[in-house]
Amino acid sequence: MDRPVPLVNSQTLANHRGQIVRLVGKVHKLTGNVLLVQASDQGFVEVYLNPESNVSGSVYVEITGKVSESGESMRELLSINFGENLDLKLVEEVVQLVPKFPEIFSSKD
Amino acid sequence: MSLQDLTRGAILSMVETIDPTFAITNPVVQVLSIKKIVATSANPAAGDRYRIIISDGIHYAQAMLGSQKRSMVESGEVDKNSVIRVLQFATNPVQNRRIIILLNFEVVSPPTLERLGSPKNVDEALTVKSENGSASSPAPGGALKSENGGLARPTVPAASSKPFQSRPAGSSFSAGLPIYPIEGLSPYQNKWTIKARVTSKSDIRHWSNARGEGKLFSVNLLDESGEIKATGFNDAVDKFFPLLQENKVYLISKAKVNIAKKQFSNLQNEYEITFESHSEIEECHDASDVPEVKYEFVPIDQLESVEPNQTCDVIGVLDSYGELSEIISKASQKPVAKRELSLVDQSSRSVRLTLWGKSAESFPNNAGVDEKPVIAFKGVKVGDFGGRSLSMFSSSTMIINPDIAEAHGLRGWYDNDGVHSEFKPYTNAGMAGGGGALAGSNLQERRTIAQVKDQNLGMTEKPDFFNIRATVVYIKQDNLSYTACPSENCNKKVTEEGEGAWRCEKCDRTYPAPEHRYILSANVADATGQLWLSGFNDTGSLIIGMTAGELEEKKNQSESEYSAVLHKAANRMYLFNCRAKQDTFNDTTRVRYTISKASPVDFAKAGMELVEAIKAYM
Repeated sequence: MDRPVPLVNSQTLANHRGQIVRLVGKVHKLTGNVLLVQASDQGFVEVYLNPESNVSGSVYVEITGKVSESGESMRELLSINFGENLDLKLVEEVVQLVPKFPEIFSSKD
Repeated sequence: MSLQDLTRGAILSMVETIDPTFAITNPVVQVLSIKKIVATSANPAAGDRYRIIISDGIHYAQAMLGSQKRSMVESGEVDKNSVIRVLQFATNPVQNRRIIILLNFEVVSPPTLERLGSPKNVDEALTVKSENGSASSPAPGGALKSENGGLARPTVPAASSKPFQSRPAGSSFSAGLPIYPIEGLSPYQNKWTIKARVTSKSDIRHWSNARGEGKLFSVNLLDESGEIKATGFNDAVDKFFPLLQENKVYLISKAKVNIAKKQFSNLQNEYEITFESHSEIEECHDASDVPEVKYEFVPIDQLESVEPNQTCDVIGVLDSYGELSEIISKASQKPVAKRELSLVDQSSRSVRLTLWGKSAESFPNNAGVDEKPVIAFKGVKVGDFGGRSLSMFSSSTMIINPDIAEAHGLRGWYDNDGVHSEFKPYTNAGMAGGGGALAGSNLQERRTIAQVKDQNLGMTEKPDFFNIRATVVYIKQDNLSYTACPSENCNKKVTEEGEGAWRCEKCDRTYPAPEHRYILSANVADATGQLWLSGFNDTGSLIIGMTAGELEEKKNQSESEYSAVLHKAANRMYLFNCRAKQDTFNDTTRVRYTISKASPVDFAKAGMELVEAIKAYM
């Protein structure tokens, strides 16, 4: 990971088709290996999990993964359990603010 | 129109007044004669002047007509035997007499057939009076008595021994003496009586200075027109202190009016009254025209809307009161009595109110104090201890079971509902020291470490207060705690004098074992710099995660575990409320930063603070 990985919500996901992004959200429903996550803007995202993944115990989770070509789902590469206490509103603020400071957060290319 | 319509005593009063704005207002008098004085060659521009004789039925006096009212004479509107109401006048001293100048008046009645009453020349009356009196001119002191006697009982023709029926607007009489409005008092005129309510009464205070010693007390007096402070010294204390009671109305006369010493009074009046040995104070039972203390009560649940250090009025039922206790005043180093009351009202909240000094001591002696009385307080200070708290100033007043609508309402509510209710008090969890809030909550005082240094906080004479969010980097290990006196509230260092013998100099006692208390010296850092902070026992316990005593135990057991504890304490972020102050040690002056309160960081909250700061920056 030598490039900054953008933090997304359900809407900005589609801006990064085929790219690697981070999604922070609340675990909503797990069906087989598909996890439905509620993102910081209240919208839902489908995440295709790895077989060894173990997210069901946690309330909040951060998924780093690749956005599909259609921009409507993502495939998990790495997940981190964030426990039971998280301020999703603060996450949404960050998602909104970061793109406004490209000089700080964008890569040099 | 008859003799009764004239304002009895008006002529004497007008002639003797030095400052006519304060004399009888709007007296009704009769014009006995009008004489035109032709303009002299010396002053042709002034025009013709008119000299008028006016009478109140008892005395007559000379008056000059102000030139603005000339037309009324010239048109015949005013003529001999007309009855007029004087609206504005002045007096000029001329050859030992005072000449009245009529500036404004209105006609009350056309000329009567004959002059009313048998007025005598007021100058003669005045000469007679001054021969009787001990001084030749009106002066405070003995002469007042006979002159007042003259004013109160002028020669009255037999026909009108009835009290008179029509009174000119703005003046009233009581026992023959005109009642002045408090606003009308001044040092220039001392023949007045006021009818006023005592709104507050101070304790007797004793003083002793280079010039001597004595005692004094003071009261605040209120009537419809305003308020004024009155003070009695020495003998006047003995005479009047027992007589004057709060909330009662008195007729007061023969006292001195001086310029107010505003630093001793909470009132706005530029004058104040001094009681003298011949002053007269009489309780007045007809108090219907004197206003009661005006209250603006704040319901207990709305006290949060009053800023700390402001005053307000509160009324509530006395739910309970505490015992008398004593604290040492920081200001005077003397002991001060205090007592706490708990008040409740229909908002279902309770609040603590502190009484001080005599009122704290004598509180249980008040009638009805154990029957859950309604108590009204005026001008109490609002504090933020435990959220909100109340405290008496010396100028605050307290009335138990006042006869006012709000009190009746409270009584009804309490007897029916309130007595069974639970009341939510003003307390804040985790109140220690800072009066309720967590460290770092005052964003106005938030700084980065770089700002603390750049803004030179603590480098002036006065200490500076600020708070920072910073991470503990290193805790100084030597001299981390000291052996302290175990007795309650005494934290003085105790020294070991022998096996199991620790001596406290302050308590003058020896204890078998000391308490351990932290003296923390920690280096903290944020994104902008680092700072050495000093902290005390509470801060130490929070940061290190155990009491100084427990840490001391660990140290004795295992050096490595001891180091591990301190190591673990580092790298944690806190909010620190700090005080920066200059300290001079031998020759060097340095700023010392002391922690008054420390709290762990709520990261979501801190994150939001950053979001707001970023948005403000954008």
